[in-house]
Amino acid sequence: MNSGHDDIRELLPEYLNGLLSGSARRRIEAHIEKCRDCRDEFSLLSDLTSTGVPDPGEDFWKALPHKATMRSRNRRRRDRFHLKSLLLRPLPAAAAAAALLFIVSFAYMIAKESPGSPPATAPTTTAAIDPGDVGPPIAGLPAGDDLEFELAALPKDSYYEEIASLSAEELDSLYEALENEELKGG
Amino acid sequence: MEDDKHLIKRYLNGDDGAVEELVEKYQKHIYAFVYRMTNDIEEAKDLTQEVFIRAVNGISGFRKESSFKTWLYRIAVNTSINHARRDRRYESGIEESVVEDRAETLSDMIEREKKDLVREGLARLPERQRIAIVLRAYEGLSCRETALAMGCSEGAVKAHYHNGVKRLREIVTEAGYEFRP
Repeated sequence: MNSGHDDIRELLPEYLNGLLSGSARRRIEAHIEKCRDCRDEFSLLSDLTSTGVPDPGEDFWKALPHKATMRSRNRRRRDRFHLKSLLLRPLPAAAAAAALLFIVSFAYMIAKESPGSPPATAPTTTAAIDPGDVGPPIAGLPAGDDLEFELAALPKDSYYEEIASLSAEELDSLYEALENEELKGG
Repeated sequence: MEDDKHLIKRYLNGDDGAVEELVEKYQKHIYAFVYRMTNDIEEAKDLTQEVFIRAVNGISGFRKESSFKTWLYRIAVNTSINHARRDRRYESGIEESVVEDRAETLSDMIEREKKDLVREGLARLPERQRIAIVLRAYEGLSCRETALAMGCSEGAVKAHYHNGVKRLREIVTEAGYEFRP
C-alpha cells in the first residue's frame, strides 16, 4: 500500500461523516472509484456506521439533564456547607483554638520549670541533709557531723583495730584460714 | 446553541442551568458511544449517566487543554474501560439487531447478516482497536481528538484503527461475504 492509499483511508471516517471540504471529498470519490481496496474499506465502514443505536426513549433524554443539574446543585450546596462550617461557625473553631492554646501553655510551663529542678539522680552531700530528717544517734556511737565511726571509741579488748590495720592480702589469708578451720570442724 | 466555553464559564459562575444545556448537547453522542462499547441498552443508559455525573464532579478541574467534547469522550472511554474490566460478560452478549416486520428480499437478508457479522466482529476486537474505530468512524472524531480521548499518541490511534479495520475485513471475507461494489 502506498502513501496515497494511506492518506485516503485515513480520511474515510471524515468523508463518511460529511466533515470534509469539497475538494477533499472529490479527491476521495475519484480515488475509490478506481481503487477496489479502498472502496472495500469504505464499504465496510458504511456497513459499520449504518447499524443504528436503539433509542432509550424520551423519558431518558429528559431525565438525564435534570439529574445532572440536581447533582451539580447538591454538590455546590455541599461545597458551600463545608466552607460555611469553616468560616461561619465560630463556636467549634473557638473551642478548638482554646484547647490548642491550653496544650501549648501547659507544654511551655513544663519546659520552663525543667532546667532549674535537680534531676532525681543528682548526687547529694551531708550538708544538704536536714537534721530533722535524721533519726536519734545509735547508743554507744559518737554523734559526729561526718557520721564516721571512731575506732578509739570501741572497747579496749576488741580486735577490730588489728583487723582494720590488715592489708588486702593479709585479710584474704585470714579468711582462708578461718574457712579451713570451719571446714575441719574447728 | 451556546458555545461550550461560555456554558462552562456560566457554570463556574454558579449557573447550574449551564450543566443542563451541556448534557442536552452531548447526551446522544455519549449514549451512542457507550452503547457501541457495551451493546446493551440498560448498561448504556447507566454508563451515560455515570459519564455525566463524573463530568459534573470534575468540571471545575477541566483545564481546557482539549475541547469539552473531547474531554467528555475521554471520561466515556475511561468509564467504558472500567465497566468492561468490572464486567466481562458484555463482550459475548450482542443484542440481536432489530428486524423490521416486513418481507425481506434475499439480498436484504444477506446485507443484514453481513452487518450483524461486522457488528459482532467489532465487539470482539481488542478494546483499544474497538475504541479507535468507534470514535473515528461512528463519532467522527479526528485522529487528534481520538488520541486525546484515548490518552495516547496519534500514531497509536492510527495503528489501532488500521489493525481493527484490517481484522474486520478479514472477518467479512473469511465468512464468504463480498463488499458492495
